[in-house]
Amino acid sequence: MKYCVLVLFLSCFCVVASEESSAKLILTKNILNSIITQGNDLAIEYNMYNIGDGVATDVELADSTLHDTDFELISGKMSVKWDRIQPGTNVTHVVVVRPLKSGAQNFTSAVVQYVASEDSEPKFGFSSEIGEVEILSLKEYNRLYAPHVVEWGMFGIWTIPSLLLPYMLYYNSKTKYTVKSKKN
Amino acid sequence: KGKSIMANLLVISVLSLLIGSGFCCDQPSVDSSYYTSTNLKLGKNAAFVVELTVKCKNNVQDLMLYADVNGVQYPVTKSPEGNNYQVSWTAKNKKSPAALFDVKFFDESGYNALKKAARINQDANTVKPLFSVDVKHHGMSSGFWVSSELIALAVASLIFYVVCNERSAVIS
Repeated sequence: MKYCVLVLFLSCFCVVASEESSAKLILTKNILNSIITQGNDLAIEYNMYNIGDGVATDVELADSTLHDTDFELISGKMSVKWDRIQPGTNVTHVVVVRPLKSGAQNFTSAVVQYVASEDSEPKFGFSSEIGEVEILSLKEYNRLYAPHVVEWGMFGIWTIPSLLLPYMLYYNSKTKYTVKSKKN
Repeated sequence: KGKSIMANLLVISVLSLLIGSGFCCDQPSVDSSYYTSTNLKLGKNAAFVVELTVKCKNNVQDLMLYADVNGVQYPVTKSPEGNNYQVSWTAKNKKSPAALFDVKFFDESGYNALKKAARINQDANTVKPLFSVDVKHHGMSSGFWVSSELIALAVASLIFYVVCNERSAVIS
């Protein structure tokens, strides 16, 4: 009887002890730019939050959705890893690319792999999707945001004839009048 | 005096053990590059990225580093291959004027010392970083400080003023 009680007590203890703390990672992916154009830098931010109550170990983030043909990597690495992410904390990773093509582009999820608790199998997670984004062409961007110095210069040159002609007439008549007044 | 000598000896022996066993980085040589957002026309949010390769004299690989930027600590990410590390941070919804960031890198023991210093309200500058990298941010600008439209308006107003003056002089 006593042994039964002891075994029961120990098994309860084991059950309590086996409720290990486990990590749960949430990955968000978002674009830092307000305007995305071809030929200009685009910064993408990845935020990883550990909402579980355990430490996430061997965390690996990989984004293979930004292909070499469409994006030129300016700064940052697409595949990184963290040794440990404490529960209740978040980490940030930034990658800067330059779009090589304009038009609609679909930004899909990045993948994270991590070990949620000791001696468990690696878990996978997907980031939030950004979805389809319109990338302005360089021509369109210049039309909207460039300083237009050349255009204003051309405008100035074209207005010179319409200003100069009346001024020459006025100047000629003015010199005639002043000469007359001097004579008087 | 004897006690302080013993303490020093203990520290030196522990350090040499750690360095020898491959936990501490001995005389790191750092190769770094950085990126900061400078085009204000693309958006107000600024991104800062520092990439580096660290080679330790005692060939310790896979270091666990933490970066301190203006009092905020960020864990440093590693590349799955090689001694490449990256730390990045953002400044969202606020201005990022030109500044020189002194990014200090700490290993695990340095980071713990830093946290302890923060707990006991000690000056964080007493903790020596493993190495530090200077990041020069040129500030975010949207091209020339005066827009071309403003210059065109100023020139047109000047011509208009001169013409008006001449006209009033003639009329009077």
